[in-house]
Amino acid sequence: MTEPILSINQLYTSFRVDGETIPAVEGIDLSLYPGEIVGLVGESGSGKSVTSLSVMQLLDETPGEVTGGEVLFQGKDLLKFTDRQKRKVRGNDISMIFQEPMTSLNPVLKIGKQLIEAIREHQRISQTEARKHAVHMLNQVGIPRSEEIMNEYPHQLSGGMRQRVMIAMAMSCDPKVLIADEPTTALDVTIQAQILDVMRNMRKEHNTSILFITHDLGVIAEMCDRVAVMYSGRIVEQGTVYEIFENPKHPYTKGLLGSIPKLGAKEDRLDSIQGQVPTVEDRPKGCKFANRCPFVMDHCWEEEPPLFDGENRCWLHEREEA
Amino acid sequence: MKEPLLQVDGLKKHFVSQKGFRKSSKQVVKAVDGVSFDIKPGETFGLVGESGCGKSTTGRMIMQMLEATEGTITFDGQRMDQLSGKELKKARKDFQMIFQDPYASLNPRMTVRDIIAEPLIVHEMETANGIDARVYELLDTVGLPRKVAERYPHEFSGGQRQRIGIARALAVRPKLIIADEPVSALDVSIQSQVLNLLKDLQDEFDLTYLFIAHDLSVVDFISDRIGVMYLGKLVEIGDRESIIQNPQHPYTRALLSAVPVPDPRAKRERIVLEGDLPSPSNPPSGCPFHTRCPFAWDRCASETPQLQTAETTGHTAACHLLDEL
Repeated sequence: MTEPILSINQLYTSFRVDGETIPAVEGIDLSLYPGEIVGLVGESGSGKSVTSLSVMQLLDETPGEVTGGEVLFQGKDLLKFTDRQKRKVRGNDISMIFQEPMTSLNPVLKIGKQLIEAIREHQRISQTEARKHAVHMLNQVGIPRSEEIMNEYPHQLSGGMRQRVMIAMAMSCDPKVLIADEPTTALDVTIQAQILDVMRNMRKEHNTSILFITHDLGVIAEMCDRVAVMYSGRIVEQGTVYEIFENPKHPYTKGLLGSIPKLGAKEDRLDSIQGQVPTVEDRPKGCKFANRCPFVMDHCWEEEPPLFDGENRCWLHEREEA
Repeated sequence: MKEPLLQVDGLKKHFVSQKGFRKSSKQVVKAVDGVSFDIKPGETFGLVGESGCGKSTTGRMIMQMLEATEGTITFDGQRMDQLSGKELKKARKDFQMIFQDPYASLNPRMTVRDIIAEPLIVHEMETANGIDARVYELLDTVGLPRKVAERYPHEFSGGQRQRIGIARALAVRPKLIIADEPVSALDVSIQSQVLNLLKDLQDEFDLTYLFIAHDLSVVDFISDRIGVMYLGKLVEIGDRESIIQNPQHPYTRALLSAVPVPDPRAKRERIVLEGDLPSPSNPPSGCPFHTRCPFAWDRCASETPQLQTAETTGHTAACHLLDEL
């Protein structure tokens, strides 16, 4: 068995607001193996984006702080790195793409300049070579007239093109890990299909491991090898994409799958999950899903279930095992 | 055969933007360019398309929030453009809208009671005493506890706000509800609750829906008939099942094939479209889709195809290769 390239162990992240500490991520364990695409799925407020920001250590500008756990990249704890070491890893070994490409590109710099800057930050090559490499990357992500685009500004490009530029930038130093936080959510479906193709090719050609964060279960089913489902700052279930979609164990995963309308299914009603995600203050004491769970038992309110078999957090499965 | 509740005929909206020194150069954006369809009472018509296709502009013209450049809208037998201001106000009671953004569409300074009561007051539908009872009734209908009446919108989540917006739309007992992306800002578990609610309300109050959305799975779930828009034009229109199972227009096919399916074993022929949506200010000649269409030939660039009935399926599509693909 190969070693995971990235492993998140018992990660805790919380936010300090008005003197109060609000836990956003509470004890996450997740591994990413070389060449693997792992999906992190959950609804708003489940902590999936905070998880990715914690791994990239991009919380400095926010009131957030990693309060416990470790993030091992090739066996070394990223959380203990100095700023200098972090800069070296970020963009070079681990890259990230965000949902809104417009806010992640500098609006006053030409595309080419931004790409070259990113490349030369990590590679000791000349301006000319970096430019050549940048054009090559733009071609790789399927951007037509790449030479011209190098001299254009972000606002001159469409959303799909900007996201391609972001992917080109993220991939320019051939990272081992790519963290993609809702990379296609802002895009139309036909453009989304193009971007997903680009990402699949990147994985095939460079063996990049991808942590794919999204709320869209359809995208997860198409892209991922393994899936982790988050709810209220925890991973409530994880498994291979087949296990999760064909034999979901946690009632939340089941509810989520029942909630999405399926194309051509001629359903009359959707199985929805009652109620709504509790706010941090209102999270139940025991299982965080207890107030919405159709199978809730007395025990669920009292004690939070551990991760049974390392794959699902539900007391129902303890009974099965016993 | 029932008379249609809403008839839209040759609807166009051209936005003119003037640029340059002394606004010398004019640019015309053909946001909606000749759209016709009708909706029968009790039916749900889904209008689907990608951003910039003109689906929201169409909805806004029907709502009389935007004036049409050309074409007519007939609601319940009345030509909307021929109504006086007073008559229009009266007619507005019969068509209401649900908006996409549940954060921007509720006045943050009004309580839930005032938000839901406002249309009742504007249309003078209830006495002062009757208003409270009606507000409570509406809260019950959309599944919100009565005690929320005194609260303000910021205290609610997106799904709850959308329920408030629905209660407001239902207040004046409309015949037609235009819902513009009502669930796209919501999480999936909340989205399914709101979709189920919309279906229940339709049965309970005999509502007719114009449902505008970009998500084909959602449109498939809720609609009886579907119209597919591309660059300001309807390219295909027909019964839901026929459109979804047997799409005729190459754009509809590409759109359907691009929808991610929540089944890891699904094997599908993906038609990946080349390039981006052309700008509506400079639309391609002939068929608007020919720049991205995998089947385009000479005629497509020169001649705009009209909507025709396909022999194989009985629904209509605008393509020169209809029945040949």
